[in-house]
Amino acid sequence: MRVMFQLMLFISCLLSAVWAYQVNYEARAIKREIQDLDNKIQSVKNRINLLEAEWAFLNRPKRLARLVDENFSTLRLVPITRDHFKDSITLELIDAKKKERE
Amino acid sequence: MQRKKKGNEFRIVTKYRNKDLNYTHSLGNYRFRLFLILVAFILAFSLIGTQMILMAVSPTGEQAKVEVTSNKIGSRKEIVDRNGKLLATNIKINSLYAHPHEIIDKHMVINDLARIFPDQSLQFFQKKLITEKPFVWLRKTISPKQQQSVNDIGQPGLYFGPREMRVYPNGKIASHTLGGTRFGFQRVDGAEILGTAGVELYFNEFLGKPEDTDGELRLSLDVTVQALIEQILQDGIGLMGAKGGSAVLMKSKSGEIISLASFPNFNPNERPKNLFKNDPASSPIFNRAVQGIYELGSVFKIFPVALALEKNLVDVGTKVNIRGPLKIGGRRISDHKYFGPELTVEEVIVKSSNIGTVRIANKIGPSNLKEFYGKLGLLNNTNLELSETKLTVPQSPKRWKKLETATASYGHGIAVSPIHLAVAYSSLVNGGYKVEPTLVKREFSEIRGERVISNKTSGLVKSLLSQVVTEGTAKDSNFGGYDVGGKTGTAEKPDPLKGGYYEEKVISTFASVFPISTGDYVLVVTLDEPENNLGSESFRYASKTVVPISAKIISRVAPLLGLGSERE
Repeated sequence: MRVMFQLMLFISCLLSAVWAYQVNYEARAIKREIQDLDNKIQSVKNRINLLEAEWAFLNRPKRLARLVDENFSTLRLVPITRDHFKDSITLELIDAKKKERE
Repeated sequence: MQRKKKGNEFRIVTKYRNKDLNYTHSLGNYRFRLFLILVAFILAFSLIGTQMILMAVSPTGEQAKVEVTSNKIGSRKEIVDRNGKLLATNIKINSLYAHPHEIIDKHMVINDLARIFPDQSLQFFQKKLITEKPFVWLRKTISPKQQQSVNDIGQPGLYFGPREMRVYPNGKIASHTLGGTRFGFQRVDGAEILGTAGVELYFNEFLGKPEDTDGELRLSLDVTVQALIEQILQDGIGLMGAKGGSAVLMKSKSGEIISLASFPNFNPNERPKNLFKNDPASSPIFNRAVQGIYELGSVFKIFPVALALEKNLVDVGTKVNIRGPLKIGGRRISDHKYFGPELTVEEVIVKSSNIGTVRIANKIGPSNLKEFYGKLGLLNNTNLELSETKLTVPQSPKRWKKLETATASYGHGIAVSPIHLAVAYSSLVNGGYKVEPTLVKREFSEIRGERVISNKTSGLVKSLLSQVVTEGTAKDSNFGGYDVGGKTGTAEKPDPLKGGYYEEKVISTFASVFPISTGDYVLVVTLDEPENNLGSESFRYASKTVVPISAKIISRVAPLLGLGSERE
């Protein structure tokens, strides 16, 4: 009886040791995976950051102004002035005139 | 002999007995010790067991440490404009360092490095690499292309370290506001970025905080407006042959600064080192709008008039004697031309009469005028969020006697920055309450401070300023169909060598308000030593130099601010 009890204790001790080791290593593996993912996220974030910086660089006002000038023949973009603001009634009139012409 | 033997035997037996006794006694002892050992083992194993479980569950100490340090360096917060457009960000690049003792062919490495980095001399690399030191920094930052070239040298002992670099994608735009950065302490795995000027320095702690790296600094600037104003100002400075200039565009009701421009400017990506020692104002890193303290002249005239209206000492139609010249404290005060014997208060402002303004200021009295200038914020530093602000104290007379009051009434003997002027004008036209200038975007479009003048006086001031533009010193310019109010000022620059004032060198200022009906925006433009030679005559007056530039700015910027849709 006593021997059985001790044997059971011994076995359960062994089992729990094995379990603890397993959990430990599984946890480490997951940990490593998380680290890998974190690194990936970080590198994607860095890339987004770089692309955003590049986007801001490409959209810097000086370059846009130059592009507007260079492509004036196709885009016909002009500086916005007060006359570009119309109230809704005027807009409706313009719309109506367009339709008439069509 | 036997007895002796017996005796011996007896002794031996007793010895045995004693030993026996000892044995039984120590047997009990052993049991106790075994128990102790058992307890010790159980404790030890349970300790190890719990430690193992803890290790399996929580991150291990070593790994956790690595994560913290990799977060700690770099990742300075971004700076964006009021619409979220990027003004400053970080990109990952590399630094270059070396372990000189590991390099086999030092001569070749030195030659190759000098070829890859043409901005550094051969001697620089010789000095760095021919050394007993185990570690030397070669470059703080290198581009990917340069990294490839260094790799191609194919020698051991050259290493790359990851690093973050601050970049300003818009180049020179808003350079004075942004300031610049430098590297603080450097490590192989990164370097600390520190602000050196502007908002980068003022908000250095907030931007560099390693714990929340997700935030951003949202400025009140609008980068589109900023770029446009800089362009127009730069063209205007070129056209007028001016030494420099500045422009401040401010929301009068919240104090938010939409644009802050100063010329000459610089590229914050390659910030020039220091101010020039002999003449700081000619350095590109000098912020004229904030650090430039000038006697701004006639733009001040609206202040005593506003106070006189507020105190009911005059109304806009009151006649003022303008016969001159006035002699106060040994100084002659005259007008730049003869306007007749008397003008109404309205005409004093519209025609910009010095004598008229001084007579109005005399009615107010020195202490009242000084108190009013103080309320408008003209006597102290502003609280603008730039590192340069703290060092910039306006100059004003120590004692306000009759003479000082007289000169201060038309903007002489008192020197303030263009920001000060914008703040003071904002208080006059926003309904009459004080605002704090700010470069950070505010939640509310109206932030009311202490009342400076009544709403009624504010309305009168706006109508006076409007008349300056419709029939006074600023009437010749086209403001793109917008109703604008403003006041011009042309002040001779003080001569630091001879004392007194230069006759030919002036600071021209136009402080304007648009749309005048609401008084929402205040624009202050100054030009340093402008000269309009476009016609047959040359002009230095504000009306021919700074006003046309301001007019162009307003006609282009106001539509971008969404003004004009309320057209009647």
